Amino acid sequence: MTDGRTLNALVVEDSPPMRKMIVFALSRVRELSVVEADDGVDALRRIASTKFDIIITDINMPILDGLKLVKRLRADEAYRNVPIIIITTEGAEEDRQRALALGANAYITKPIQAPQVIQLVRETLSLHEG
Amino acid sequence: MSGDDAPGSSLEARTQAFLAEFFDRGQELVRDLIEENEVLRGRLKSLETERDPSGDLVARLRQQVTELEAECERMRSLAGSVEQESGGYRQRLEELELAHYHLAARQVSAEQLRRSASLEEVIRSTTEILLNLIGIGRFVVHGVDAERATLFPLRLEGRDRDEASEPAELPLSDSGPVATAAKATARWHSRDLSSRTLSSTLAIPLVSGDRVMGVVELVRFLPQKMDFTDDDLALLELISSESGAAMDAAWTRAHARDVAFSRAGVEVLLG
Repeated sequence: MTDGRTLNALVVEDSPPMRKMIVFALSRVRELSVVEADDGVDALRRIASTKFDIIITDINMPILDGLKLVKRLRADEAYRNVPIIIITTEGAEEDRQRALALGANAYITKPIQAPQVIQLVRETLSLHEG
Repeated sequence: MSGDDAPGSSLEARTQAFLAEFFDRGQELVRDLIEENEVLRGRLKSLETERDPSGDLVARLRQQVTELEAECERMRSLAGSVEQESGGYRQRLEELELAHYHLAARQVSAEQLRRSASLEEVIRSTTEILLNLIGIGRFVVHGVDAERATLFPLRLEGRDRDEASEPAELPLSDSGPVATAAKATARWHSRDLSSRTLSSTLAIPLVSGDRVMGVVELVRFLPQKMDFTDDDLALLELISSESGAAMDAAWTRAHARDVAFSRAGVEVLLG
């Protein structure tokens, strides 16, 4: 899928240690260049200046939460088909369904394991392991 | 009546005496404040040493992460060149990657706690580590009020929907696990653990030197989490020492008064 091009990933998470660990896990995917956002509003600000190929977002965040962010992105022509992965503490099936119904492509619950995140991102972007 | 006793002179003398006393007291106050700041600064320094007497924990963790990173890179290149071989290098690489990730989690957690300057930041950082990196769904962070011999709630995470009130204060004389943990003499160690599940409350003392600053009461996991891994236990050990020391440092810092740098103050210090 990359055609040798570096793919831009946006990690949206308000908890600094969690954000660092997601970025750390994604640093194993050589094809990715990762940008961090503190919350949904910060994400929208970054999206305005960079086109991202994948977005990984938390749900529970101040001001603009992950579900509202997904809704806003899906309403944007440029982000209608960009993969979105939700990472959250919510484990209930209804939360999973709510996120997927809004247009998220996949869902992982915390605490995350690096291989799980890497594999999901690779599958979502159709990247070969290497 | 001499000239010195004239009403004008007398007023001037009294004013000068008043001003002299005023400045003496001011200087005394500055001296007291400088001394107090020195004591507090010394206390902060000793807290840093108490936290990690054998060297800088974060630096050591960072070094270990770098070393593991180098080994991962070596394994990655070997695994790439022997793609056909099943197991072997690939399995070793996966093990290393996982160990690398968990070591990084400890480094990130230690750095986050050490960067937390206020009590609020320490509690928030502790909460984020417990919730996001370990997967504890419900827990209470208690503070120890040594004068009143009680434990008081600082933060409740995972409040049930129908739960309105805050957890109650607990006397230190209580015989339960939380009050017992508040009497710990050293940081919590995973060898103290009887079960890897959370079938009953697990209480982790937050220790600074020989003082217990608080206790984290772990009540239940997130629904998707079943039991503690070795890496979770290493993070709990880190919280027991680092959160306690960070709470102590934040408390001391909050009580330090700001004293302007002045010549008079410097001269007092230098004798």
